Amino acid sequence: MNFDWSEFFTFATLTKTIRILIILAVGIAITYTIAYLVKKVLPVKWSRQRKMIINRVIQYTGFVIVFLIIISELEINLAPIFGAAGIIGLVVGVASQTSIGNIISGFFLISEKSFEIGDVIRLGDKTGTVFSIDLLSIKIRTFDNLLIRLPNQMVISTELINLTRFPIRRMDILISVAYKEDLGKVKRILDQIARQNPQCLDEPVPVIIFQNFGTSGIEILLGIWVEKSNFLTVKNTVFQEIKQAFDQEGIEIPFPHVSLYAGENTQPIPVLVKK
Amino acid sequence: MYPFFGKYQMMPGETRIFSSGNFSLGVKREKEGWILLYPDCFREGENTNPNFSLGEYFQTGKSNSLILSPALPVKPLVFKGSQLHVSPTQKLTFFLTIPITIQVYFSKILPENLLKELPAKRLSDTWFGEAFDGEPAFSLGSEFFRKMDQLEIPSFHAVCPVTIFNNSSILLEVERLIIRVENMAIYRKEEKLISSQVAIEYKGKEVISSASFNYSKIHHGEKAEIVTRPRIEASTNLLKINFHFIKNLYRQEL
Repeated sequence: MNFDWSEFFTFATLTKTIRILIILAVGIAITYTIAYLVKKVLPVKWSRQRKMIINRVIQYTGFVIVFLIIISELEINLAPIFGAAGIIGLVVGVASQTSIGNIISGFFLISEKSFEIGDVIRLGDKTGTVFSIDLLSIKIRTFDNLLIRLPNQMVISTELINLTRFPIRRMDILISVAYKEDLGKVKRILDQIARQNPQCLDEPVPVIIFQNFGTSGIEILLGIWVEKSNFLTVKNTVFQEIKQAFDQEGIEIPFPHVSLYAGENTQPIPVLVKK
Repeated sequence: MYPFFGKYQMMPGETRIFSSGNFSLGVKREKEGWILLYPDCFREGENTNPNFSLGEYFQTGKSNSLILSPALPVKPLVFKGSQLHVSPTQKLTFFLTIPITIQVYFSKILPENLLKELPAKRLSDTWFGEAFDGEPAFSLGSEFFRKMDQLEIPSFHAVCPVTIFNNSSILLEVERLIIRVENMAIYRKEEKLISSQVAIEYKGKEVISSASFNYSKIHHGEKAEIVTRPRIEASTNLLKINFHFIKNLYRQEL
């Protein structure tokens, strides 16, 4: 197959190519400049998410306009393209149904407002801070600094927990104490720990619930309210304080154990020592 | 009463311990800065020769002036007034004691010259309002006084006069009352520190009440000296939620 390149590289095509490249460069530069300037003048109190959506809308509109200008510059007749749009749409739709699903899911996610950029969310076994909400996916930054991309379609169909939506959180600590312990005393100690830690909120009041007669001990739930920014600090200090207080008061935190009986309730298991 | 509030000149190399009650603050003037040694760095009985290497350094320039000033806490305070009731059209005045914080400035009292703000007493955190839309605050407890002369003011505390006017048709049972200290000033009357008077008009449970923070000749005297200005001077009359009535949070859970 012989293709005559000299016919293609004429002065006219060269001029057109340069003009298209200039349009592309200037168009993209103008789009980004407008997006940047709008971002600067948006009210400070607006959420990062709202600002990002406005930014993206400006960018995508700018790209579409640049694309249309280039098409007209190339003197491509759009009528047949639009005429064939039905068939093309069908083909593209079948080929990119996942992507379209993600885009549509993205709109639902944004309108639903179940989370915003900067919120800490848990999705299945993944927890992290929402880093960006994009056309096809959301990106979260985990606490060990990994970036996870989650397709919008998956996000919308999975149970999502927003850990930082509300300004305060209840921190639940499950504690187990031995059956022999005085539960009134244990409750008093836990209550004191919650009240003496200045970062544990006075109100809503801490809650202590005797949960279960467990296999190794009695399980108690201590629920302490904290400001979300203090969550980890309080968790660590309260854990230490519980351990310290229980050690001081001689309260046993049981490890899993099994009691064996040799037929009679109070008799020990007979042990024979051979010399 | 508070001998160490005021302005001091310290030459490079000079050290000074400001101490009152359980509070101690060490200050060392460096050539172009200050080292501050906080209360938790002092061991009992070691106030004379503290270890300044544990202190925090601030590069501030050549000014040798240091100012110690009292201030009200950085967050609003929640008063638990479970024993207070005000009948319709009645006005109740009572007094609270508020732990103050100590602000350390260099050169002049300007926001940008603040080196450190140290609470004389760490108040417990609390929450005012519902768990989904309330606001962070410190807990002030439930102690109140009906008369100013009943008060024995602990060190590093200011007196706060509060007046509640019940302008509703039902009995007001004060459960939680927020004191927005960020809008309040501190005045010095003789040896006492007295905050702005909080005057609240209660209009009903579902109605936002109005609170104003004023200078009152009755409580502050004819010519009290203003010691500290409010952190927020925007308004002296606020239409905000000032009362909160407790709901059982666990009713549905249990």
